[in-house]
Amino acid sequence: MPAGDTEKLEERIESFTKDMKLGNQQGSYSVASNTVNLLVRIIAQTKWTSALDLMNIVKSEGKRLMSSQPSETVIGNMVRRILKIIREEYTSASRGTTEEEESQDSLHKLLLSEKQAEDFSSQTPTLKASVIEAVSELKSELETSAENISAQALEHIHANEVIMTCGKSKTVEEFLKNAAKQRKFQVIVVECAPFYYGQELALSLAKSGIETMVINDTAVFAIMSRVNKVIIGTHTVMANGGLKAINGSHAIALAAKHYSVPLIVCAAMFKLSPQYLCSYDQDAFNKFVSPHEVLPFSEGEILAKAQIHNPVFDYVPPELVTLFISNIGGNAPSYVYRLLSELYHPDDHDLDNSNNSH
Amino acid sequence: MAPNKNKSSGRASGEDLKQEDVLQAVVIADSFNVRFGPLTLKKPRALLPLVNVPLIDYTLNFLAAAGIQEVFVVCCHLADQIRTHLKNSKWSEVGSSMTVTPILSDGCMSVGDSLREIDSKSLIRSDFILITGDVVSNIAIQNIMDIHKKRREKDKSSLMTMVYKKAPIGHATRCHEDDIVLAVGTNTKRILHYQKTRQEKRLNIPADILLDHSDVQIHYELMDCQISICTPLVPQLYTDNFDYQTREDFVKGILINEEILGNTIHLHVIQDEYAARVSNLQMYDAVSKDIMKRWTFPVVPDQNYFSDKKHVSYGRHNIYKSQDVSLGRGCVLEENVFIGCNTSIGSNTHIIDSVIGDNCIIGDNVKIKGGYLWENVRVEDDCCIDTAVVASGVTIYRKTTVDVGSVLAWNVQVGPDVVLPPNVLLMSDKEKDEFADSEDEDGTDQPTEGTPEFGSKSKAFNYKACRDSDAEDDDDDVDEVMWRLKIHSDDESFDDDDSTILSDESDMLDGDFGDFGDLEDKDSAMFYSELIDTLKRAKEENIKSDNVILEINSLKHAYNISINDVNMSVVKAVLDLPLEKTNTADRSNLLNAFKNSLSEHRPLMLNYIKSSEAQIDCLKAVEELCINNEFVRKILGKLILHMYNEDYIEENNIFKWYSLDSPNQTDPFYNQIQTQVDPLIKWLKEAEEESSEED
Repeated sequence: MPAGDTEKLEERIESFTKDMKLGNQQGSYSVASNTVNLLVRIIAQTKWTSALDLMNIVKSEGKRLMSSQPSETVIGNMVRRILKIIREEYTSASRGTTEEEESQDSLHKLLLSEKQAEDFSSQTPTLKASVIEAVSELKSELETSAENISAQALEHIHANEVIMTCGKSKTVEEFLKNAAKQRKFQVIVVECAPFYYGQELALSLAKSGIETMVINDTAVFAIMSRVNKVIIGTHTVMANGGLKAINGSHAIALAAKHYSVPLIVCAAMFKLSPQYLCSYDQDAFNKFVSPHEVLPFSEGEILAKAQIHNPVFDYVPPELVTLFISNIGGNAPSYVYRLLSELYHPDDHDLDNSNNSH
Repeated sequence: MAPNKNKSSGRASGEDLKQEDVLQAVVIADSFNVRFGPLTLKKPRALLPLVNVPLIDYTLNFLAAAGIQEVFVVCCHLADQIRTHLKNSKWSEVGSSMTVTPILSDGCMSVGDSLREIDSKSLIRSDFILITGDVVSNIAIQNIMDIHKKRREKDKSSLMTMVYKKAPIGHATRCHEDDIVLAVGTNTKRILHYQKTRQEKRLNIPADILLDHSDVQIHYELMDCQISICTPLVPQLYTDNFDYQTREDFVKGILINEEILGNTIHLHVIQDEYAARVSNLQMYDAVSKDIMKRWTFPVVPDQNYFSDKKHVSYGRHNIYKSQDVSLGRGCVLEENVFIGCNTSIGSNTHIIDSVIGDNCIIGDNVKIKGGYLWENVRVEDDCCIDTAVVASGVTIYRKTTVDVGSVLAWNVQVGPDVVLPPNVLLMSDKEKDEFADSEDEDGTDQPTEGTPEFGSKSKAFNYKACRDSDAEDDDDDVDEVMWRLKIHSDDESFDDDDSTILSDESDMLDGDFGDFGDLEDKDSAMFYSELIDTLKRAKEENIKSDNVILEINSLKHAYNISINDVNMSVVKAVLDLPLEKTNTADRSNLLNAFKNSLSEHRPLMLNYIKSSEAQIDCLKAVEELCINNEFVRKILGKLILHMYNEDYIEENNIFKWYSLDSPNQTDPFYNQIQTQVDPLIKWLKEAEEESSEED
């Protein structure tokens, strides 16, 4: 491969990390699909001889991409998905077994297969092509995920219901609009200060003919008794079924719990992360941005005397979530562990450790 | 696969960039002053660390984030260090989105010199960003660039867009030294007047500005971010005007010359984003705090913004910890604290609003408030540091108090058991420059190792800012009180001070206009006589009209005459010259003499009498002449007709002038003038009607 190609690849990676650092990319879906595109290029353009080599390359490049924006868990999820794909393709190529058998392993079989650890070192000439093909399947899964979620809307939204939502989630927006095609219902949007994304969502819903009302964050509790269902989006689904969602979601979830209103979360599978909440601080979980939305810089003197924090996310514990709607159907939070084991290989949950073991 | 490539590939796909599309920036990596006291003796300001990252990296990252592709860094003082820094930075790696070219020029003494250097190398091909090497910002400059370009399309005369941020009086990130008063057109965003307030208590806004523009805003709350978007003309103008030293000179020059050259400067006020220049120690303190308080997001230490290698973790109350930090038992990091790699902090130490660099050792029971410790600093037990910059390699022995506003430069040692006076500037060697001689005579420094007043183990000498002979005196005063100013600002008194200044200024605004009249009259009389002389000499010596115009323009500046007055004077002079010669001549001769004189000075007339305003001025001048001279009065109609026929004046301007309220209405000869002009106006109107009928 000519040197020019690797240079271009390097440039691509640079521009991706730059975009992530600056926060230029909006929406989990675009981050996910860009990550996958970049990883496909890495697989296609770098030199490797065995699956082990490839996995190490994907891991190290993946870690670099992840470190560009630690709070963006989707990047890590995609890296893990692709690692899992490589593992599967390698096993099927070396053993000649078909995929279906692999994915339907019983717990008993999984336990047994643990013993014969793979070393991923033998040569498999068809690996590259088959991995790239499998990744393109992953890509089409990403592309259709929003559609698949919104297709389930009619099962959850009934006529003349009052739905509460918050912030601006593209998935929820699609979901509601899809339901509105056949049913008539009312939507209450919580604006979510200090970013006020809720106002944008409300505008877009109202334009498509849904009866919409915007309320501020403090009115959530007062109005909750009138609500039939709360439907929100999320940034990440944590390994325990908890949410990392827009600031303000926790308060809504608590209010919903108090009034026993079901809380439904629309989230595509690529948002499922094998991470647990271990600390509320930025490192592990949150993202703190410039305080100017809370108090403008032109405020003057007071700024020197005040501590202003502007966290982006809230943690919503799994007890408060009634149902997840993903592209593969509805699931309870308690089932998330099973989805995790289907999507990711347990060795990949912590990329740092698994790297050391090899 | 193909359709969703576009975002990530973007620029990378090797699309052929047209030459004019390459975005360029010029970074002036030198401050040309000694605001950073002894610190800049060993390292240029651009490389001083701000929250553990060299200042220039903030600027370069800002430019890279804005999508700039080509950067020229002008370095002068200790240029080699900057060059090596750039060579080792990520910009020289493969895959970097931006090329950074250092331009070494030891001879530069000012921003002006640097830009002249840039111009002489003709590196600039299109609109570029001019920025100093010590700006911290997260602006998306692309948008401002677009606004600038759009404005340029409409109005070719726009030279520069300057970026400002709102920071009202009393704001921590506002420093008295850079206070500025701007008069800006409300809708046009054009800067009409630019004045640094400095120590001045008076504000002089030329009356013309308020008279000529219907909507003027006067700003005192803006902070100069030192980012400007310039057209390629700017370096050329610096070359043409060799006396422009700073950007301030340039702006003032353009604003004063604006009427002649027609160049304008616009302003852009940023809203949500952050930009500030670390122009002195007070700003160093303020910007450091702003970074730690995350105003500059995403330019914050924990975002891996500068490199992927250094990992910094962020905790509540803005505590930033790098890797391998060891904290003693009972030590408190209260808020806004950054701690660098491999730094250890002793027990019961209390740190607030501070930056501690890499490899520092802080002892037990130390109190640090507003301290900026760079690398390899050792602070022993029971010390106390309050609002001070402590450079790399400094040792502070135990029980030493470093008081407010101190600067300890490279490798200084102080203590033990001393209390340093506030605002001391210490360095580890004696000064080696020519000013050192006088120091010795003063006897303040002793030739022994260290000075006892700074402790028995000390290795420290007072630093005295070497005075720049060119700089104005008050500038130097500002230098010395830099930190102290900040301390005042903590007290309430400072604010009161400021508001009284403001009210004084507004008084001045109302009161000062009275004096304008006499002064201007005197000046314009002088100007007029000079003008006549110039024209006479030009005729005698056969000087080219271009040069005459140049000479008149310089006269305009010398006497500070408005362009209207210049226009009127030129017309008057052109007509006066034949009048002087033919004192008692008869009517027909006079008209011919006028005609000759006009055609003789045609290039001159055409240069000044261009706009409709100027044409009206011209007519006013003729009117004035008539009032004073009866011969002229008699041929006024013919004269104007001649000027109309020769295309000096357009007919609608004649109508405009005619409909104006003349200041000479009370004059006894006014009627005569009217009778002279009336038929002409009638004829012109008829002609116009006829032509419109024909259409």
